[in-house]
Amino acid sequence: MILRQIWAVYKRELGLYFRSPIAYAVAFALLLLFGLIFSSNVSQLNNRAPADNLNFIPSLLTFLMFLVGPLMTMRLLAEENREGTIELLMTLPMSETAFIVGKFFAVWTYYSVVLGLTLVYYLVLTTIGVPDHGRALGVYLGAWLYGGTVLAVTMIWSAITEDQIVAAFLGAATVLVLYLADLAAQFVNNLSFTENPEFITGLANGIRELGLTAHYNSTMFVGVIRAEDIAYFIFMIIAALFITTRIVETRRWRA
Amino acid sequence: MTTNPETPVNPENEPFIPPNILLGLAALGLTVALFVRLTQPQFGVIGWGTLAFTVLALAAWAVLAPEQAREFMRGRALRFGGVSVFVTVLVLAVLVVSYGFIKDRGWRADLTESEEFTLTEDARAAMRVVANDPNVPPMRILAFYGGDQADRRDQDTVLFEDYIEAATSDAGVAKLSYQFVDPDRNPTQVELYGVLPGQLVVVEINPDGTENIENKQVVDPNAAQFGGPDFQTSLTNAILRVGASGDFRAYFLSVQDGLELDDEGDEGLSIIRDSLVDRFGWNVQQLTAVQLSGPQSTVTLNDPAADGEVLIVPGGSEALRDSDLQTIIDYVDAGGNLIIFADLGAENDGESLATAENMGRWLWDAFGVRFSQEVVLDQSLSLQTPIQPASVEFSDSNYITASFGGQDAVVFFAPHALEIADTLPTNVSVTELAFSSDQAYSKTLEELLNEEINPTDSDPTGRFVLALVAENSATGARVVLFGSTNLASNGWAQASSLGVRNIDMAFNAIVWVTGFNDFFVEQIPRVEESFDPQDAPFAATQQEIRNINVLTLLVLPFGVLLIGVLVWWFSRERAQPA
Repeated sequence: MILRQIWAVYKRELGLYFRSPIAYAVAFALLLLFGLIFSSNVSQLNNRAPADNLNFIPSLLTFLMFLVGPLMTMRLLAEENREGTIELLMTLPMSETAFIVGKFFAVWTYYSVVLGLTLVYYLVLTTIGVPDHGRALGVYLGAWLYGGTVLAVTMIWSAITEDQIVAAFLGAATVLVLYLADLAAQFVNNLSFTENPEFITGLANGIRELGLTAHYNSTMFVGVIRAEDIAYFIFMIIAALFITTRIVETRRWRA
Repeated sequence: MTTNPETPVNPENEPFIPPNILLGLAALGLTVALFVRLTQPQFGVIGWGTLAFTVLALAAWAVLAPEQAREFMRGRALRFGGVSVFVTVLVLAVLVVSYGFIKDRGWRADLTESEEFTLTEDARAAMRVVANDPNVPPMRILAFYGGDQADRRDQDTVLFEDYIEAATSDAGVAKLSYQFVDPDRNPTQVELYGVLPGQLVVVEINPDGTENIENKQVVDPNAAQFGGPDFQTSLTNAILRVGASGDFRAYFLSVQDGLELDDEGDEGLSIIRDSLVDRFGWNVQQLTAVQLSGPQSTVTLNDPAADGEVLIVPGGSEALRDSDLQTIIDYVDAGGNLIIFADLGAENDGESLATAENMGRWLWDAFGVRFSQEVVLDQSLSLQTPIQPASVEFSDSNYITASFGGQDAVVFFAPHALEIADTLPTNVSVTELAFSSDQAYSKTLEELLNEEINPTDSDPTGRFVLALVAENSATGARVVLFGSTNLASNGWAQASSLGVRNIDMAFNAIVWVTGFNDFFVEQIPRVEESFDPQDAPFAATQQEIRNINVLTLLVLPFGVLLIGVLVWWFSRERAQPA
């Protein structure tokens, strides 16, 4: 039953994405930027570097997700909140969970399509060099999960606020914090005023574990798949969607 | 109108444990598990036990009070108010605990085709030797990675785990362990080991668990960037070297026209030197006869403090002075080990150090063997010219050649044949290591210098011994004789991968005479860097670069834009009639 509900929401949202020119404009901007960087790197590194050095586009996309992710999700719930359609949707015989999960899968699908388009660069690499296919699998799997996590996290802000710009701004700030957790961990690790260095090291490791890059850049990006990294991304998505669902449900409670 | 009277409860159907108590027990168990997870270094029996208890209590509650469980999942209690916050926290806690569980399992896979983060077969074989050799001490890898090298730490953890697994003996004893040391927090340790941040140390562990800093090897993971070996090769060799701890010494005699230890050209011995010094920490020196035995001698032959010792004569075109030879005789009589590579003798009218009368007499009297004056040639089994006869038959009873297979060969350059007495001296045994083919023939050096290399009826023909070992069981002396010098020279190192085992034969001889192979029960694996196709730079022609530019700058982005415009246009058209 709930799967049918999720499917209905998913179809509606996906249709909205692919009927909206903005989705194509975002994809165009991204692909133009990637194209510029990729082609200039091909010229510069020709005959000088292995093909794997050029397989950085998915990683670049994950970096840009702190900007692109909130743009993709800001509309999802904030617009429904602002226009009051969410109250209407709440009257339908549909659970909040199906509503949120359906919307999430739709935006994740859109992200997957953009990510899939970057495979063109990889196919180009195979014609001029010998890239490591196994490593590429890790790179793309990681970028896909990374993107899903960012989208799920930024959806929380879209559910909280009615203002799309505020949702995008707060979403970008949250993703940036998660992106920079590695640096924060380094900062904490370098604190020397404490007499308990093990605690500081543990705290630094904990902060790093919370961050996105520790689960992508150091492992999946180089072709190493760790169960803990996959679990991190999946659990982050589950947690973010759970929180988003709770937030949406509070509207019914308030009403 | 219908009524919904409450169903009377039959006391006999009530669960004997009130479901609410089970919920309380589950909460208590989860609290304890979380407390253990957050405060203890190991989740341990208590952590897992309480977690299992929590799951069981929840399962029992769901079974005993299914209506309550359904209501909890669907009802307002879950969704709204303070309970909603509690449930959210509970879900997050479960996710954190689950993440911790998965992280502790350490499941990982190296997807790279070049298996960059997996031990190579060579390294794995080396670690198996380390694991099962009782003489190899336990070791620890100390990685001095700072907070800014967390990525490197994550990546190397994968490799280190592989090392640990491979270096665990059949009995389950791990010979290796690893530890990350933050150089900023442990400057004393950094100074003690003399390392830089980002470097590693492989160090022996004493029986009392302390680190034996005297026996350590520093590894620079970035050596490959400066033309050095890759990280895995460096680390494996460092482990082998620390594992092969012991005082082993090789003295190369400086002789007229002999091979030089520091010569890095094709005729040099630098590869053998580097293997012994860099990989196994041997003390290797090249000495003149005076330095070996004179009043200014810097070495002590037959030193009881040494675990193994060998004197190597790398060619030599002139006979040794009797006094110098006497030093060698005294050394061997006292149980010393000697390896002689015979020079052709072209510079000295056919006489060389090895074929000189004084050397021949002593070898014959002491071991029943000697170098022949004649040179072996072979037209049927040789490399390019009969002057380079090859041996494809080897003794499988001696360590030196035991590992050589059917595809392997050793190529000699104008070797002197080896003669063996019909009756050997008491306590002496001789093992023939390598032979020519049955069609080989021998000539005098004069004939050879006159370029008379084709066989004649007067030439002795048959199967000649080109390398042998002689042992005296009473004194323990071991002597290895090679018919030519080229076996040990650098020029043959590259051919090793093609099955020409010249340098391996020379190296194995050094290992065997010193008993170094007893330190590593099995044959010491050779760990060499591999080159994968993925390491090669990509190459695009100018036309290909133009095509790539068109595809990535025009076709792909503007194609997507065009689709967007079309979608917008058709949506607009559809919207207008409405």
